Amino acid sequence: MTLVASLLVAALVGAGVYQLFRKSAFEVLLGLLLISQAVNLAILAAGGWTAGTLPPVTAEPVVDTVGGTAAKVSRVDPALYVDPLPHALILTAIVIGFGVFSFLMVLIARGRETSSTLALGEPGPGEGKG
Amino acid sequence: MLSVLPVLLPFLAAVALLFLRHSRTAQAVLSGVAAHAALALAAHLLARTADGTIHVMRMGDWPGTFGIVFALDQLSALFIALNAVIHAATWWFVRCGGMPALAQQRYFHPLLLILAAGVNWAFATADLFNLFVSFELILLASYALMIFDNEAGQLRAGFRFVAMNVLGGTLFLLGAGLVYGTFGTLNYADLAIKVAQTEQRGVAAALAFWLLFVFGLKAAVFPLFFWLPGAYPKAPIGILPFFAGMLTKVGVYCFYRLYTVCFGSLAAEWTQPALLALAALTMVVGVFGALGQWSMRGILSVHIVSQIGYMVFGLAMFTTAGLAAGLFTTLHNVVVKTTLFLVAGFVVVHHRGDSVKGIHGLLRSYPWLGIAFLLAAVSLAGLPPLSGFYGKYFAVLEGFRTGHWFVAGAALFTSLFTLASMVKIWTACFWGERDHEPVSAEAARPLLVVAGGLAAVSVLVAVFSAPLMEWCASCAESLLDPRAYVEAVLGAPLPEGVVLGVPQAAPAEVAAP
Repeated sequence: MTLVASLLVAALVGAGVYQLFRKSAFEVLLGLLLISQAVNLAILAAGGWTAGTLPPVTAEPVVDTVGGTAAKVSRVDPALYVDPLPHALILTAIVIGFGVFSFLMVLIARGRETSSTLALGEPGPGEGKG
Repeated sequence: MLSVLPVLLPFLAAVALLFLRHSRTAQAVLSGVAAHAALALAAHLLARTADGTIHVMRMGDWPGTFGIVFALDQLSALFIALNAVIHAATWWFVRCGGMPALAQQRYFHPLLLILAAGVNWAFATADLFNLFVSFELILLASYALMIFDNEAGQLRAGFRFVAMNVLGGTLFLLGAGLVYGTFGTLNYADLAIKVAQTEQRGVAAALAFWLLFVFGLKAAVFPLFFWLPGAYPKAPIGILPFFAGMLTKVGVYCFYRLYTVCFGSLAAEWTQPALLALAALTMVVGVFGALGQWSMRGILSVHIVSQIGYMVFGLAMFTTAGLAAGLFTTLHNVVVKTTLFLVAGFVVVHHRGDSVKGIHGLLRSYPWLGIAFLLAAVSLAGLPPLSGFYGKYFAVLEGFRTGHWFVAGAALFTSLFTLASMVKIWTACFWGERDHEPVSAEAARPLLVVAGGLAAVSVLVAVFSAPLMEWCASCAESLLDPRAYVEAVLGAPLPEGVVLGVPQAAPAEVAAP
């Protein structure tokens, strides 16, 4: 599983970096998107598969008596749960990425309106290097 | 509660401003109230943390390191205070006509406040993931502010700025994910203990270097500063002083926090040589880069890079005196750099351009502007008795004492060329025959007062350099021996046998100037 994930990450990053070096701004954006997906997958591979496999929500809590009082406990050993934190990290990253990439798309669209050249990554007329 | 207020206050004010979109005056006034309340709060925080107290807040009262923890110590309070000063100065600059178009925009003030909230968040949080989220918040606000004028050149520069930072944010996320995968924690305190105990010191060092790349990109150290010279001079002039003063310093803060508290035990073996080399190269390359620029904003922007080198140098010595000098340099630099950008802003606002070839004889038109510029520029170059001198003097002295004479020599060499850049602006723009129509004294006064006010703050920094340096030294000590911070964040005493922080050879002394 880790091997498959590594190969996928490598392929995504490779394609993303290739896109980053293209001229058109939209292709650069696609490159960033691919890399950010690769990173999400890498986080999952680095932190998510070490423990159990059960999502924490599937274990149905049952009412049981613990120390004389009725309490909701789970019959499943917590060690079998998958670690939810990497999932939380990835979810947050996806939400943030959604906002940022929408902003970038608007930026590209606005750039096309105001400037004759489509290549946002290039110095425009009358602009120095860098 | 105290530790979340610096984030909550500007953030809630920003939300309130969104409901006042119909009235620019109401927005500006409320934004100013929030900026000055933040200033008062920052002063309060400085006073409350001065004795080494650490204010901790656990969200949801989760035990240990399971929840989100905010912790304010002296270092956080120092950077929050700097942010408050720069925020207030930016507000006054815009208020006094420092960008008429910007002040008309209904989203300018909310975005400025969100930016300030994000920066404070980065300074207050005690875990890596919150740091990542705060970076994204800062960046989103700065992306929007960056392209406010909506012209083609700005959009192009803005796109490069955003693309660069998105890539940086992605790498940060991966770094955080790998830290969690390796050590099973993202909390600074927990991470500090795990790194100190780990057998896999090489893996820990690899993670430290990965994060070094991320924060280096943010702080614009060599060789990761390439995004800065293209982006900053293109930013709207009203917000540029804030960008120049604070944004790179977020990266500097992360250096000071993580490479002492979390990765302090790797200092001698791994991080110190890397940081020293980065410091020397950043100083020298930055200062030469500035010599090749031909506008005030261009020269000053590239100079930010060179000054970051001094801050990293202070940290890289990993001694009390070194860190104190680095922190003092940061404190001085934030104030002085922003003053210089306010002066450049004055010229841009009133004369439409700031090319060193395009405007001459400013001294005849605005003698007070000349004085403010001269005070800040000479202070930046590090001439006594101005504020830049003390940081550089103690850094170089400590550099020679600890045997890093090469980097200390580079620092001295750099100072010379810093002076050369400042002289270039001074002789070209301020001296010579007047070639422009000066605006009337009444029209010039508001912005002059703002720039002069901040220049006066930098003089105050010089006057109170002795107590400030002592304060920086006690802050440095708490970073090199972070036991108190770690215990406060954990909410529990340190486990037996864990040695945190950077081992010190001999007790270092800081002489007050």
